[in-house]
Amino acid sequence: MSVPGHNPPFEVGVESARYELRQSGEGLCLAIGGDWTAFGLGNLPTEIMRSLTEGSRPKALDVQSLGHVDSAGALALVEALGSTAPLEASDRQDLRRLADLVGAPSEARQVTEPAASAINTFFARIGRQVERFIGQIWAVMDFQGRLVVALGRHLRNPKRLRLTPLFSVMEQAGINAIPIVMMMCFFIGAIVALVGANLLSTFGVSAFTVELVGVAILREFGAVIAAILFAGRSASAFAAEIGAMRMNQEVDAMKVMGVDEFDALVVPRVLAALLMVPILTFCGDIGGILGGLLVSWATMDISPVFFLERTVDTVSLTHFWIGLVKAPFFALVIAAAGCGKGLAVSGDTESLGKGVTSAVVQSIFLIIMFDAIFAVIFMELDL
Amino acid sequence: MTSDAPDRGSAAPPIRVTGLRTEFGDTLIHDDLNLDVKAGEILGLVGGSGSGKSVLLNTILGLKTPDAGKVELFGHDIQEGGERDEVERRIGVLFQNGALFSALTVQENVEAPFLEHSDLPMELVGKLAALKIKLAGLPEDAGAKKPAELSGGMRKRAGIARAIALDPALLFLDEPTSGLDPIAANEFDELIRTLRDALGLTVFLITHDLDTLHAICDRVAVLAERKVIAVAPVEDLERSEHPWVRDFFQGPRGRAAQRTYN
Repeated sequence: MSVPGHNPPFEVGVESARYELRQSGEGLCLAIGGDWTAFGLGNLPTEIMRSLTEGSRPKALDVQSLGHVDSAGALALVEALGSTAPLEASDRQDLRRLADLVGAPSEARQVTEPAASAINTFFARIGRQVERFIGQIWAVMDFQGRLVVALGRHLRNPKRLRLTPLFSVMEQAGINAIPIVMMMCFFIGAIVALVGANLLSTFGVSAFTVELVGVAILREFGAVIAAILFAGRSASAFAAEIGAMRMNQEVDAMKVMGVDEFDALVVPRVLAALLMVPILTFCGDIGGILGGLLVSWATMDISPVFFLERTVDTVSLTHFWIGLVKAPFFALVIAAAGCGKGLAVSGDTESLGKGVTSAVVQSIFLIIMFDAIFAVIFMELDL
Repeated sequence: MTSDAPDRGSAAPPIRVTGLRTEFGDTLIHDDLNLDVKAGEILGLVGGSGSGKSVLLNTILGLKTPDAGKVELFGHDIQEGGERDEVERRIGVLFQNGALFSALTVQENVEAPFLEHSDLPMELVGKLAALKIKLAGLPEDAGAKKPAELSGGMRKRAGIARAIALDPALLFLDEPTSGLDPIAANEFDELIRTLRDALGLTVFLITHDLDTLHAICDRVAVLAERKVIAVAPVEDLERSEHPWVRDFFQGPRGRAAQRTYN
């Protein structure tokens, strides 16, 4: 593997380790060759141990054709021989040094916990899950309580509000999300129109496509799509930002400076979400109607003017308000899940990943759940 | 009769840096920097803040591409792919904060290099990792802990245990004693020297710790004015006329360390 014209490489490849058991005068002799290193050994140690029956430990070591050796090789040798004596008696200086380093086989042992009985582990698992579940409920209530207190503080003294982070989050999470929300709703509107036109034309009432698109987008999809996109874009960002700050001890630094982390981190994000999700919903409504309009025009020759007129005439404004009223609730859920999971991050990277994931999953789950609850409420109210 | 492992051409120095230039935008960090590290020595690298010590370390490790010049480890040009893997498993690195994988236990952290580079049976890997953890001076129960549960000094020891997992020929240490109390720092110096003697390591360490320089470094390289201006034993550097070197070794702290070790 040496490249011509190169300096001699440090290690020209690796020669696989090999061994041979020989019967000699004083008993069994282990003859080894090749490189007894972490790279050359492979699965050899298991093979040796298998070929050695108890009581037939080799007493002598032949290192005539031994190449390199490192602590992995030395440990494997000591394990096979049962003692360091043959290594110490060897004429190889590095082997003697390694024998010293590795020590007798009984020493460095991996710490293993004693195996618990199956029934014990079963109940321990259930116990831990219950404890974790209660802990989570506790954490959520704790977070909500603090959030309400922090919001109350801001109501009493609006000067507390930090405007810079508020506007920054509004821009990043809100304004920058408008194109993607409009585009998603545009496609959803187009899909609803396509499916609806297909179905309704079999009854000869394809003009009702307009109403279908209007009601579906304004009442449901505008708000839900905007909220889900906001959750995907921003609940994750909130959790990651705050979580990274926790890992970096920035949150601790804030507390020590007398800055309340809810004032500085959570309230601006929650308020920004409360302000921006309704706006995103509105933009989504426009995008959805446009999508339906375009498809109706292309597939059913419903002119844009007729489409808009019919929308205004037949789709009651209530649907628009129902969609918009849900938006702040979604916003609250998303921002609280993101910030809460971020603050719950502990020292390691794994908990950051888990926090971000569960922020998104939790907020999307809660969005759909709240939407269902609202659907029932509005139905009972005959709206 | 005493013999040793067969010589397969390890004559090239462990580290050779020639004509290195590094620049960030308009700022020149290193210009025509040369450095040779001899096999088996502990070389300390000192330099003021912002003199490019960490950049030099990253360049030697191949994490950063030099703008000009060449870095050779054991005679391999590290920029020329090919034998990189071969070189990589001959080096161990302790980053400043340990850089342990926080999702794994200490034991698993030390096992990681074996799983990546060798086909050893799992049982032996476990024992080897436990051996390295013991060598690094950690108590036996430390293996089962996560890095977040360890103190700063223990985390560094765990980092060393991982760095020496594959019996590297060359060990890099970035500020090994920073953030340690004097007793822990002394113990750590001792550990580095013990490991060097036991494993036949070459050690390249960045440090500001004058005690470390006096206690364990065979030679000290001084990084100033964008190049290595001197490589010599500490005693020789103490007599240097260069203003930065004089301030470094003859300041109040330098004198204190000097009194302790002379």
